[in-house]
Amino acid sequence: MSTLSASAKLQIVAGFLKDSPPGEINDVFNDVRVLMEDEAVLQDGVTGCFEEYNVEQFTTVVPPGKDYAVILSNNNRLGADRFVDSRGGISFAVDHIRQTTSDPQPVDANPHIEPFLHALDAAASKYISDHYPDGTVTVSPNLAIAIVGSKYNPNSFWNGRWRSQWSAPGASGGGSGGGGGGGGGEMTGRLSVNVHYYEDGNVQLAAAKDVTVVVPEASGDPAAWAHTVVRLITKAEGEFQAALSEKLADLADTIFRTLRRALPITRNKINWDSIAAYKIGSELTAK
Amino acid sequence: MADPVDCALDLMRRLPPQKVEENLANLVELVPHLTEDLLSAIDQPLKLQRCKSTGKDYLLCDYNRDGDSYRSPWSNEYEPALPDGAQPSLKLRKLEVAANEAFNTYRELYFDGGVSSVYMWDLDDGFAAVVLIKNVNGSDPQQRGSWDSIHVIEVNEKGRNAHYKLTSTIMLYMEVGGAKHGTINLSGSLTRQTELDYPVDDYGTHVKNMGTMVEDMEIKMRNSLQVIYFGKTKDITGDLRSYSNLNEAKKLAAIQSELVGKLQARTH
Repeated sequence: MSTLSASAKLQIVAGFLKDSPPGEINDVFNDVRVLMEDEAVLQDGVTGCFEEYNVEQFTTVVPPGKDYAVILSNNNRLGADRFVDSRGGISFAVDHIRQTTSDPQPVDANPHIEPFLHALDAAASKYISDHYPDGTVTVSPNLAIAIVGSKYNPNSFWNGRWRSQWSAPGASGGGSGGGGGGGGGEMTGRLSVNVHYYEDGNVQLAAAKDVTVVVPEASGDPAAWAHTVVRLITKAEGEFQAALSEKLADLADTIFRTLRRALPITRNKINWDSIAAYKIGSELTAK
Repeated sequence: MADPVDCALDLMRRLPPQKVEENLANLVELVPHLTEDLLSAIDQPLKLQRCKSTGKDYLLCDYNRDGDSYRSPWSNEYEPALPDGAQPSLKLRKLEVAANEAFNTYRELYFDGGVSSVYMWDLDDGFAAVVLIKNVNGSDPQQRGSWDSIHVIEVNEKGRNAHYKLTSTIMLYMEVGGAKHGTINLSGSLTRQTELDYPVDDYGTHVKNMGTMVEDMEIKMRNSLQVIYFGKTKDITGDLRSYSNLNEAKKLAAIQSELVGKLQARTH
């Protein structure tokens, strides 16, 4: 029996870690640790997996000296383990496995973007408190918006995560905003929901939708512009959630029903005496 | 918790069911010495094969496999041919034939399509059976679904009674796309167990007893699937993001309780 090389093993383990359901990467890590039987290789190779997972899954950390959480994403990332907290005007280092932060450094603010960034942060934060029981929003220096809402309930065997990644309003071209803030034009969003239910089973919902909205150009007032952007986000996310709920109900009435009926057409359970042509028994019992 | 098999099973309960085959293949590469344990403990979506001598489809699983060959429940022959492949005793094979017939009718009545197979093997004080049913909904490429039932029954014969231990797994996969809701993949499996004693008047009564047990179990599990897949996932999504405005709802509740307070003060 061939034995896999350490790097081939690590590749398999990396795939498992990346596929971890919301809030369960440490459980998956504890399992693969036992299966891998090679602590040294695992410790060396695994940091990159956590880093990738954190950025992909919008893991939140509290920046040094702050009392709010910041989402780790590609938009506010400076290096493998360095991210920007634009609300606090700092960059900081992240330990991807422990999810701790350190080494705050001031970052230079762009005076053209700054008023729009803070207006967008304020409007989006209000939106989060209105619609996400346990949500975080992070506006990146480029005005891209990341939203995450997670609930972990391992005692009831379920965990879930909602993620929204919105591009900077107008950044995809068309608008005259260019390098400054307050531009108009298209804004694209990727909305996704992951739910894991695992009491005596393993059921997972993975839903995702790409949306595009058009933001009008700012007339000069950053607060009014930010309000418009957030109103468009609220509407698009609400529509996705409503459509998802509706589709789940519809699936119960369509595919689920056609795959297996609740009862036969007769509306009665089966009379096994009549369908089981089992009189083969007599000769066997008599032997 | 350091037992590798337990860890592997815990891992498979967490990784996406959408990728169970790929995950299991990778897992077996990672821990080749556990291959047999993992293949028998982890259920995968059932595969079909056409019986060469009868032309009827049958389902493949670890219980009708010997080496690289699978035994057809219709012809009792292995494909590819395997002259000394494992077989149930002559008596049990008769029961297997009867059970295949009965569960085929069961499948027609409940599934309106699909394929079923029953396999049996002898045990020291009785026998065991696996009842497999697969149904696929493939008519609409925008709405694909599949249902796989795997019922393993251990039968312990004790005089004129028998003890039945049933372990049932149902795998339900659904994948839909659409402009309004985007892509939805809702997939997974549930497993349940039950044990019962039934009288066995004659040998053939086993078919009726197993049939009743499987039917009751599938009815219960279908209800659970409905609640979890379509109700629970929607509720959890609502816990992640509230469709209505949480702060306005709070304000409204505060106004309401204030009004109630004033009304009560008036009546006193």
